Amino acid sequence: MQNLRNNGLISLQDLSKQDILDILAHAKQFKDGMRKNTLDGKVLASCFFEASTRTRLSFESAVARLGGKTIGFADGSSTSQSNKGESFVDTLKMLNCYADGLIMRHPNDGAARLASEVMNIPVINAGDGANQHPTQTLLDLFSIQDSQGQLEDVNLGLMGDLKYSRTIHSLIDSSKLFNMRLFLIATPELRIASEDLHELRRHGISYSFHSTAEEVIERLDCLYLTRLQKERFNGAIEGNYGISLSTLDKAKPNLKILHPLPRLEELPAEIDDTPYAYYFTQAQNGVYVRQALLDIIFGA
Amino acid sequence: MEKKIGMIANGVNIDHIPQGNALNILRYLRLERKYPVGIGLNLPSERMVIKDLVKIENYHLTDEQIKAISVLAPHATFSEIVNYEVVRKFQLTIPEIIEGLVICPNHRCVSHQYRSKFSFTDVSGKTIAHCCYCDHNYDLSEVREFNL
Ligand SMILES: [Zn+2]
Repeated sequence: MQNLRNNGLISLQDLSKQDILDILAHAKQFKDGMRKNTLDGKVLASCFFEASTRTRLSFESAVARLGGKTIGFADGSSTSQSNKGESFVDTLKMLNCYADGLIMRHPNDGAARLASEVMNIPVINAGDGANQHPTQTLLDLFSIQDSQGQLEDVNLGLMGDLKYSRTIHSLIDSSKLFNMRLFLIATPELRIASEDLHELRRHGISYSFHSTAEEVIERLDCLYLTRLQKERFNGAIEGNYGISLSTLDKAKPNLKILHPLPRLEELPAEIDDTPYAYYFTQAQNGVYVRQALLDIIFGA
Repeated sequence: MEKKIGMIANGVNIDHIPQGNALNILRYLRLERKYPVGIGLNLPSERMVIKDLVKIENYHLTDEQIKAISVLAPHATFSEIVNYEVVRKFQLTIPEIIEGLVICPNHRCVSHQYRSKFSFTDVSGKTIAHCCYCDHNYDLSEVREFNL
Protein backbone atom coordinates (compact mmCIF):
# COMPACT_ATOMS: atom_id res chain seq x y z
CA MET A 1 0.00 0.00 0.00
CA GLN A 2 3.02 2.30 0.37
CA ASN A 3 3.18 2.27 -3.39
CA LEU A 4 -0.37 3.65 -3.54
CA ARG A 5 0.42 6.37 -0.99
CA ASN A 6 3.38 7.56 -3.04
CA ASN A 7 2.08 7.26 -6.56
CA GLY A 8 -1.70 7.08 -6.46
CA LEU A 9 -3.48 4.63 -8.75
CA ILE A 10 -2.86 4.69 -12.48
CA SER A 11 -3.59 1.15 -13.62
CA LEU A 12 -4.98 -2.00 -12.04
CA GLN A 13 -1.89 -3.75 -13.38
CA ASP A 14 0.13 -1.84 -10.78
CA LEU A 15 -1.73 -3.66 -7.98
CA SER A 16 -1.17 -7.15 -6.63
CA LYS A 17 -4.05 -9.46 -5.86
CA GLN A 18 -3.50 -8.75 -2.16
CA ASP A 19 -3.59 -4.98 -2.79
CA ILE A 20 -6.97 -5.39 -4.50
CA LEU A 21 -8.34 -7.53 -1.67
CA ASP A 22 -7.11 -4.99 0.89
CA ILE A 23 -8.85 -2.12 -0.92
CA LEU A 24 -12.08 -4.13 -1.12
CA ALA A 25 -11.91 -4.99 2.59
CA HIS A 26 -11.32 -1.33 3.38
CA ALA A 27 -14.32 -0.38 1.23
CA LYS A 28 -16.46 -2.88 3.11
CA GLN A 29 -15.61 -1.07 6.37
CA PHE A 30 -16.85 2.19 4.84
CA LYS A 31 -20.01 0.48 3.65
CA ASP A 32 -20.61 -0.87 7.14
CA GLY A 33 -20.05 2.55 8.69
CA MET A 34 -16.95 1.49 10.57
CA ARG A 35 -14.63 4.22 9.29
CA LYS A 36 -14.51 7.95 9.94
CA ASN A 37 -13.39 11.17 8.22
CA THR A 38 -9.73 11.18 7.40
CA LEU A 39 -9.32 13.91 4.77
CA ASP A 40 -9.80 16.93 7.06
CA GLY A 41 -7.93 19.89 5.61
CA LYS A 42 -6.98 18.06 2.40
CA VAL A 43 -7.66 19.65 -1.00
CA LEU A 44 -8.05 17.36 -3.98
CA ALA A 45 -8.09 18.56 -7.57
CA SER A 46 -10.91 16.85 -9.45
CA CYS A 47 -10.06 17.58 -13.06
CA PHE A 48 -12.18 16.15 -15.84
CA PHE A 49 -10.63 17.07 -19.18
CA GLU A 50 -13.55 15.19 -20.67
CA ALA A 51 -16.97 15.08 -19.05
CA SER A 52 -18.04 12.04 -17.05
CA THR A 53 -20.71 13.22 -14.65
CA ARG A 54 -21.24 9.89 -12.92
CA THR A 55 -17.60 9.22 -12.14
CA ARG A 56 -16.96 12.81 -11.11
CA LEU A 57 -19.91 12.99 -8.70
CA SER A 58 -18.97 9.65 -7.22
CA PHE A 59 -15.43 10.82 -6.52
CA GLU A 60 -16.52 14.22 -5.23
CA SER A 61 -19.09 12.59 -2.97
CA ALA A 62 -16.38 10.30 -1.60
CA VAL A 63 -14.05 13.25 -0.90
CA ALA A 64 -16.86 15.21 0.79
CA ARG A 65 -17.86 12.24 2.96
CA LEU A 66 -14.27 12.00 4.15
CA GLY A 67 -14.25 15.68 5.11
CA GLY A 68 -11.97 16.83 2.29
CA LYS A 69 -12.48 19.59 -0.29
CA THR A 70 -12.33 19.45 -4.06
CA ILE A 71 -11.33 22.06 -6.61
CA GLY A 72 -11.36 21.54 -10.34
CA PHE A 73 -13.51 21.45 -13.44
CA ALA A 74 -16.16 19.21 -14.98
CA ASP A 75 -15.03 19.29 -18.59
CA GLY A 76 -11.96 20.47 -20.43
CA SER A 77 -13.57 23.22 -22.47
CA SER A 78 -13.30 25.88 -19.76
CA THR A 79 -9.62 25.40 -18.95
CA SER A 80 -6.83 27.66 -20.08
CA GLN A 81 -5.44 24.64 -21.85
CA SER A 82 -8.22 24.90 -24.38
CA ASN A 83 -8.64 28.66 -24.28
CA LYS A 84 -5.06 29.90 -24.17
CA GLY A 85 -3.20 26.94 -25.62
CA GLU A 86 -1.49 26.08 -22.34
CA SER A 87 0.23 22.72 -22.65
CA PHE A 88 -1.21 19.77 -20.78
CA VAL A 89 2.02 19.33 -18.86
CA ASP A 90 1.99 22.98 -17.74
CA THR A 91 -1.58 22.57 -16.51
CA LEU A 92 -0.43 19.57 -14.48
CA LYS A 93 2.53 21.44 -13.02
CA MET A 94 0.21 24.22 -11.93
CA LEU A 95 -2.25 21.80 -10.32
CA ASN A 96 0.68 20.23 -8.53
CA CYS A 97 1.05 23.49 -6.57
CA TYR A 98 -2.62 23.83 -5.66
CA ALA A 99 -3.71 20.43 -4.38
CA ASP A 100 -2.69 17.45 -2.26
CA GLY A 101 -3.73 15.02 -4.96
CA LEU A 102 -5.25 14.80 -8.42
CA ILE A 103 -8.30 12.87 -9.58
CA MET A 104 -8.17 13.03 -13.36
CA ARG A 105 -10.25 12.01 -16.35
CA HIS A 106 -8.69 12.60 -19.76
CA PRO A 107 -9.56 11.66 -23.35
CA ASN A 108 -6.04 10.51 -24.22
CA ASP A 109 -4.60 7.06 -23.52
CA GLY A 110 -1.77 7.21 -21.01
CA ALA A 111 -2.62 10.68 -19.66
CA ALA A 112 -2.68 9.49 -16.04
CA ARG A 113 0.72 7.83 -16.33
CA LEU A 114 2.15 11.03 -17.76
CA ALA A 115 0.55 13.06 -14.96
CA SER A 116 2.06 10.83 -12.30
CA GLU A 117 5.48 11.34 -13.88
CA VAL A 118 5.41 15.13 -13.98
CA MET A 119 3.65 15.67 -10.63
CA ASN A 120 4.83 15.09 -7.07
CA ILE A 121 1.34 14.60 -5.68
CA PRO A 122 -0.46 11.24 -6.01
CA VAL A 123 -2.67 10.84 -9.08
CA ILE A 124 -5.85 8.75 -9.26
CA ASN A 125 -6.83 7.75 -12.76
CA ALA A 126 -10.55 8.32 -13.29
CA GLY A 127 -10.30 7.07 -16.88
CA ASP A 128 -7.72 7.82 -19.57
CA GLY A 129 -9.14 7.37 -23.05
CA ALA A 130 -9.64 3.75 -23.98
CA ASN A 131 -6.85 2.72 -21.66
CA GLN A 132 -7.68 2.28 -17.96
CA HIS A 133 -10.40 3.10 -15.45
CA PRO A 134 -9.17 1.25 -12.38
CA THR A 135 -11.77 2.44 -9.86
CA GLN A 136 -14.55 1.15 -12.12
CA THR A 137 -13.01 -2.30 -12.05
CA LEU A 138 -12.47 -2.11 -8.29
CA LEU A 139 -16.11 -1.21 -7.70
CA ASP A 140 -17.20 -4.00 -10.06
CA LEU A 141 -15.10 -6.50 -8.12
CA PHE A 142 -16.41 -5.13 -4.84
CA SER A 143 -19.98 -5.53 -6.08
CA ILE A 144 -19.41 -9.13 -7.12
CA GLN A 145 -17.76 -9.89 -3.80
CA ASP A 146 -20.31 -8.08 -1.66
CA SER A 147 -23.32 -9.58 -3.43
CA GLN A 148 -21.97 -13.14 -3.58
CA GLY A 149 -19.85 -13.26 -0.44
CA GLN A 150 -16.81 -14.25 -2.50
CA LEU A 151 -14.80 -13.46 -5.59
CA GLU A 152 -13.15 -16.82 -6.20
CA ASP A 153 -14.95 -19.29 -8.46
CA VAL A 154 -17.91 -17.00 -9.17
CA ASN A 155 -19.93 -17.79 -12.33
CA LEU A 156 -19.79 -14.49 -14.18
CA GLY A 157 -21.73 -13.73 -17.36
CA LEU A 158 -20.32 -10.90 -19.48
CA MET A 159 -22.74 -9.54 -22.03
CA GLY A 160 -22.43 -6.84 -24.66
CA ASP A 161 -19.38 -5.41 -26.34
CA LEU A 162 -16.76 -7.96 -25.33
CA LYS A 163 -14.39 -6.77 -28.02
CA TYR A 164 -14.00 -3.04 -27.41
CA SER A 165 -15.46 -2.27 -23.97
CA ARG A 166 -12.77 -1.12 -21.55
CA THR A 167 -14.92 -2.14 -18.58
CA ILE A 168 -15.35 -5.69 -19.87
CA HIS A 169 -11.72 -5.97 -20.85
CA SER A 170 -10.62 -5.07 -17.32
CA LEU A 171 -13.03 -7.55 -15.78
CA ILE A 172 -11.76 -10.29 -18.07
CA ASP A 173 -8.28 -9.33 -16.95
CA SER A 174 -9.23 -9.57 -13.27
CA SER A 175 -11.07 -12.87 -13.69
CA LYS A 176 -7.64 -14.47 -13.97
CA LEU A 177 -6.77 -13.39 -10.43
CA PHE A 178 -9.89 -14.89 -8.92
CA ASN A 179 -10.39 -18.00 -11.02
CA MET A 180 -13.84 -16.94 -12.15
CA ARG A 181 -15.88 -19.03 -14.59
CA LEU A 182 -16.77 -16.82 -17.56
CA PHE A 183 -19.86 -17.02 -19.77
CA LEU A 184 -19.20 -14.79 -22.76
CA ILE A 185 -22.46 -13.58 -24.27
CA ALA A 186 -22.13 -11.60 -27.50
CA THR A 187 -23.00 -11.42 -31.15
CA PRO A 188 -20.26 -12.68 -33.50
CA GLU A 189 -19.16 -9.09 -34.28
CA LEU A 190 -18.50 -8.33 -30.62
CA ARG A 191 -16.80 -11.52 -29.49
CA ILE A 192 -13.85 -11.26 -27.14
CA ALA A 193 -10.53 -10.29 -28.75
CA SER A 194 -8.21 -13.17 -29.57
CA GLU A 195 -5.43 -11.81 -27.32
CA ASP A 196 -7.83 -11.82 -24.36
CA LEU A 197 -8.86 -15.36 -25.16
CA HIS A 198 -5.25 -16.42 -25.37
CA GLU A 199 -4.62 -14.92 -21.91
CA LEU A 200 -7.61 -16.75 -20.43
CA ARG A 201 -6.35 -20.05 -21.79
CA ARG A 202 -2.86 -19.34 -20.52
CA HIS A 203 -4.25 -18.84 -17.01
CA GLY A 204 -6.49 -21.88 -17.14
CA ILE A 205 -9.73 -19.89 -16.85
CA SER A 206 -12.85 -21.76 -17.99
CA TYR A 207 -15.12 -19.96 -20.42
CA SER A 208 -17.85 -20.64 -22.95
CA PHE A 209 -19.52 -18.68 -25.76
CA HIS A 210 -23.21 -17.88 -25.91
CA SER A 211 -25.41 -15.73 -28.07
CA THR A 212 -28.18 -14.99 -25.53
CA ALA A 213 -28.41 -14.64 -21.75
CA GLU A 214 -31.34 -17.13 -21.67
CA GLU A 215 -28.95 -19.93 -22.66
CA VAL A 216 -26.98 -19.65 -19.43
CA ILE A 217 -29.05 -17.67 -16.95
CA GLU A 218 -29.64 -20.67 -14.67
CA ARG A 219 -25.90 -21.03 -14.11
CA LEU A 220 -24.96 -17.42 -13.39
CA ASP A 221 -24.13 -15.77 -10.07
CA CYS A 222 -23.62 -12.38 -11.69
CA LEU A 223 -24.61 -11.07 -15.11
CA TYR A 224 -22.57 -8.05 -16.14
CA LEU A 225 -24.31 -6.16 -18.91
CA THR A 226 -22.89 -3.21 -20.85
CA ARG A 227 -24.40 -0.78 -23.26
CA LEU A 228 -23.37 -0.85 -26.91
CA GLN A 229 -21.85 2.37 -28.11
CA LYS A 230 -24.19 3.49 -30.86
CA GLU A 231 -21.49 5.49 -32.64
CA ARG A 232 -19.64 2.28 -33.27
CA PHE A 233 -22.35 0.19 -34.85
CA ASN A 234 -24.69 2.51 -36.73
CA GLY A 235 -27.62 0.75 -35.13
CA ALA A 236 -26.74 -2.51 -36.85
CA ILE A 237 -26.84 -4.65 -33.71
CA GLU A 238 -28.91 -2.96 -31.02
CA GLY A 239 -32.35 -4.11 -32.14
CA ASN A 240 -32.25 -7.51 -30.51
CA TYR A 241 -29.64 -6.90 -27.88
CA GLY A 242 -30.49 -6.97 -24.18
CA ILE A 243 -32.50 -8.75 -21.52
CA SER A 244 -36.11 -8.62 -20.34
CA LEU A 245 -38.13 -9.91 -17.38
CA SER A 246 -38.65 -13.26 -19.09
CA THR A 247 -34.88 -13.69 -19.44
CA LEU A 248 -34.81 -14.11 -15.67
CA ASP A 249 -37.42 -16.89 -15.42
CA LYS A 250 -34.84 -19.53 -14.55
CA ALA A 251 -32.40 -17.30 -12.66
CA LYS A 252 -30.74 -18.60 -9.51
CA PRO A 253 -31.95 -16.83 -6.32
CA ASN A 254 -28.53 -15.28 -5.77
CA LEU A 255 -28.25 -13.85 -9.29
CA LYS A 256 -27.30 -10.17 -9.41
CA ILE A 257 -27.36 -8.02 -12.53
CA LEU A 258 -24.55 -5.49 -12.80
CA HIS A 259 -24.25 -2.62 -15.25
CA PRO A 260 -21.77 0.30 -15.25
CA LEU A 261 -24.54 2.74 -16.30
CA PRO A 262 -25.75 4.74 -18.13
CA ARG A 263 -28.05 2.12 -19.59
CA LEU A 264 -30.02 2.06 -22.79
CA GLU A 265 -32.71 -0.36 -23.94
CA GLU A 266 -30.53 -3.41 -23.15
CA LEU A 267 -31.61 -3.15 -19.50
CA PRO A 268 -35.30 -2.18 -19.29
CA ALA A 269 -36.59 -0.39 -16.18
CA GLU A 270 -39.05 -3.26 -15.48
CA ILE A 271 -36.12 -5.19 -14.06
CA ASP A 272 -35.36 -2.52 -11.44
CA ASP A 273 -37.97 -3.89 -9.04
CA THR A 274 -36.75 -7.50 -9.14
CA PRO A 275 -34.39 -8.83 -6.46
CA TYR A 276 -31.81 -9.36 -9.22
CA ALA A 277 -31.29 -5.66 -9.94
CA TYR A 278 -28.03 -4.58 -8.36
CA TYR A 279 -26.78 -1.78 -10.62
CA PHE A 280 -27.80 1.15 -8.43
CA THR A 281 -26.27 -0.53 -5.39
CA GLN A 282 -23.22 -1.04 -7.58
CA ALA A 283 -23.09 2.71 -8.25
CA GLN A 284 -23.38 3.34 -4.50
CA ASN A 285 -20.57 0.84 -3.90
CA GLY A 286 -18.48 3.05 -6.14
CA VAL A 287 -18.53 5.76 -3.50
CA TYR A 288 -17.36 3.32 -0.78
CA VAL A 289 -14.58 1.99 -2.98
CA ARG A 290 -13.42 5.52 -3.81
CA GLN A 291 -13.59 6.49 -0.14
CA ALA A 292 -11.41 3.50 0.68
CA LEU A 293 -8.91 4.37 -2.00
CA LEU A 294 -8.77 8.04 -1.01
CA ASP A 295 -8.38 7.06 2.63
CA ILE A 296 -5.52 4.68 1.83
CA ILE A 297 -3.73 7.24 -0.34
CA PHE A 298 -4.39 10.52 1.45
CA GLY A 299 -5.75 9.55 4.86
CA ALA A 300 -4.14 10.69 8.09
CA MET B 1 27.31 -13.04 -51.14
CA GLU B 2 28.02 -10.37 -48.52
CA LYS B 3 28.77 -7.02 -50.16
CA LYS B 4 31.90 -5.39 -48.72
CA ILE B 5 32.40 -1.67 -48.54
CA GLY B 6 35.59 0.23 -49.13
CA MET B 7 37.68 0.80 -46.02
CA ILE B 8 37.65 4.29 -44.57
CA ALA B 9 40.54 5.84 -42.68
CA ASN B 10 38.53 7.30 -39.80
CA GLY B 11 34.89 7.16 -38.97
CA VAL B 12 32.03 4.78 -38.44
CA ASN B 13 30.53 1.96 -40.38
CA ILE B 14 26.97 0.73 -39.76
CA ASP B 15 26.26 -2.52 -41.56
CA HIS B 16 23.30 -4.93 -41.64
CA ILE B 17 20.76 -2.13 -41.40
CA PRO B 18 17.21 -3.39 -42.06
CA GLN B 19 16.25 -2.45 -45.60
CA GLY B 20 14.85 1.07 -45.83
CA ASN B 21 16.30 2.35 -42.55
CA ALA B 22 19.62 3.83 -43.74
CA LEU B 23 18.05 7.14 -44.63
CA ASN B 24 16.32 7.31 -41.23
CA ILE B 25 19.71 7.04 -39.57
CA LEU B 26 21.13 9.90 -41.66
CA ARG B 27 18.04 12.00 -41.02
CA TYR B 28 18.38 11.36 -37.30
CA LEU B 29 22.09 12.31 -37.22
CA ARG B 30 21.58 15.66 -39.00
CA LEU B 31 25.20 15.67 -40.14
CA GLU B 32 26.92 18.86 -41.12
CA ARG B 33 27.82 18.90 -44.79
CA LYS B 34 31.55 18.46 -44.23
CA TYR B 35 31.41 14.70 -43.53
CA PRO B 36 31.76 12.34 -46.49
CA VAL B 37 28.95 9.75 -46.36
CA GLY B 38 28.62 6.47 -48.21
CA ILE B 39 25.20 4.88 -48.42
CA GLY B 40 24.37 1.41 -49.65
CA LEU B 41 20.73 0.59 -50.26
CA ASN B 42 19.15 -2.77 -51.08
CA LEU B 43 22.44 -4.69 -50.94
CA PRO B 44 22.43 -8.49 -50.97
CA SER B 45 23.24 -9.96 -47.57
CA GLU B 46 23.74 -13.50 -46.34
CA ARG B 47 22.39 -12.68 -42.89
CA MET B 48 19.43 -10.55 -43.91
CA VAL B 49 18.80 -11.29 -47.62
CA ILE B 50 18.69 -7.53 -48.28
CA LYS B 51 20.29 -4.85 -46.17
CA ASP B 52 21.26 -1.21 -46.06
CA LEU B 53 24.62 0.17 -45.03
CA VAL B 54 26.00 3.56 -43.98
CA LYS B 55 29.56 4.78 -43.51
CA ILE B 56 30.52 8.22 -42.35
CA GLU B 57 34.07 9.49 -42.54
CA ASN B 58 35.75 11.54 -39.83
CA TYR B 59 32.72 11.20 -37.60
CA HIS B 60 32.21 9.40 -34.30
CA LEU B 61 29.00 8.65 -32.50
CA THR B 62 28.04 9.50 -28.93
CA ASP B 63 26.52 6.78 -26.75
CA GLU B 64 23.18 8.55 -27.06
CA GLN B 65 23.39 8.40 -30.86
CA ILE B 66 24.34 4.72 -30.79
CA LYS B 67 21.36 4.05 -28.55
CA ALA B 68 18.96 5.75 -30.97
CA ILE B 69 20.48 3.96 -33.97
CA SER B 70 19.98 0.66 -32.13
CA VAL B 71 16.26 1.37 -32.32
CA LEU B 72 16.31 2.61 -35.93
CA ALA B 73 18.43 -0.35 -37.03
CA PRO B 74 17.98 -3.20 -34.55
CA HIS B 75 20.85 -5.69 -34.52
CA ALA B 76 22.93 -3.79 -37.10
CA THR B 77 26.71 -4.15 -36.96
CA PHE B 78 28.56 -1.09 -35.76
CA SER B 79 32.28 -0.52 -36.32
CA GLU B 80 34.45 2.42 -35.43
CA ILE B 81 37.62 3.02 -37.42
CA VAL B 82 40.65 5.05 -36.38
CA ASN B 83 43.67 5.23 -38.69
CA TYR B 84 42.47 2.31 -40.83
CA GLU B 85 42.09 0.17 -37.75
CA VAL B 86 38.82 -1.14 -36.41
CA VAL B 87 38.98 -0.05 -32.77
CA ARG B 88 35.59 -1.46 -31.83
CA LYS B 89 32.99 -3.55 -33.56
CA PHE B 90 29.77 -4.95 -32.14
CA GLN B 91 26.22 -5.83 -32.92
CA LEU B 92 23.82 -3.17 -31.71
CA THR B 93 21.50 -4.30 -28.94
CA ILE B 94 18.11 -2.79 -28.44
CA PRO B 95 18.03 -0.46 -25.38
CA GLU B 96 15.60 -1.11 -22.52
CA ILE B 97 14.00 2.30 -22.85
CA ILE B 98 14.22 5.23 -25.24
CA GLU B 99 12.53 8.60 -24.93
CA GLY B 100 11.43 10.93 -27.70
CA LEU B 101 12.43 8.86 -30.73
CA VAL B 102 9.54 6.53 -31.56
CA ILE B 103 6.23 8.13 -32.49
CA CYS B 104 3.40 6.10 -30.97
CA PRO B 105 1.13 4.76 -33.75
CA ASN B 106 -1.87 5.10 -31.39
CA HIS B 107 -3.18 8.52 -32.39
CA ARG B 108 -5.09 8.83 -29.10
CA CYS B 109 -1.91 8.41 -27.08
CA VAL B 110 -0.99 11.25 -24.73
CA SER B 111 2.66 11.01 -25.80
CA HIS B 112 1.78 13.13 -28.85
CA GLN B 113 1.22 16.03 -26.44
CA TYR B 114 4.56 15.64 -24.73
CA ARG B 115 7.31 13.11 -25.38
CA SER B 116 7.17 9.43 -26.17
CA LYS B 117 8.74 6.70 -24.06
CA PHE B 118 9.11 3.13 -25.29
CA SER B 119 10.52 0.00 -23.73
CA PHE B 120 11.62 -3.01 -25.77
CA THR B 121 11.68 -6.76 -25.42
CA ASP B 122 12.80 -9.44 -27.85
CA VAL B 123 10.15 -12.12 -28.22
CA SER B 124 10.81 -15.06 -30.54
CA GLY B 125 12.85 -13.17 -33.11
CA LYS B 126 10.71 -10.04 -33.04
CA THR B 127 11.39 -6.85 -31.15
CA ILE B 128 8.26 -5.70 -29.35
CA ALA B 129 8.04 -1.95 -28.69
CA HIS B 130 5.86 -1.05 -25.71
CA CYS B 131 4.52 2.48 -25.25
CA CYS B 132 5.02 3.36 -21.59
CA TYR B 133 2.00 5.69 -21.65
CA CYS B 134 -0.84 4.02 -23.56
CA ASP B 135 0.53 0.48 -22.97
CA HIS B 136 0.07 -0.56 -26.61
CA ASN B 137 2.56 -3.06 -28.01
CA TYR B 138 3.95 -3.00 -31.55
CA ASP B 139 6.27 -5.06 -33.67
CA LEU B 140 9.19 -2.61 -33.98
CA SER B 141 9.80 -3.59 -37.61
CA GLU B 142 6.31 -2.30 -38.41
CA VAL B 143 6.72 1.06 -36.69
CA ARG B 144 7.12 3.63 -39.44
CA GLU B 145 7.27 7.01 -37.75
CA PHE B 146 10.15 8.42 -35.79
CA ASN B 147 11.05 11.83 -34.46
CA LEU B 148 14.06 12.49 -36.65
ZN1 LIG C 1 1.27 5.27 -26.86
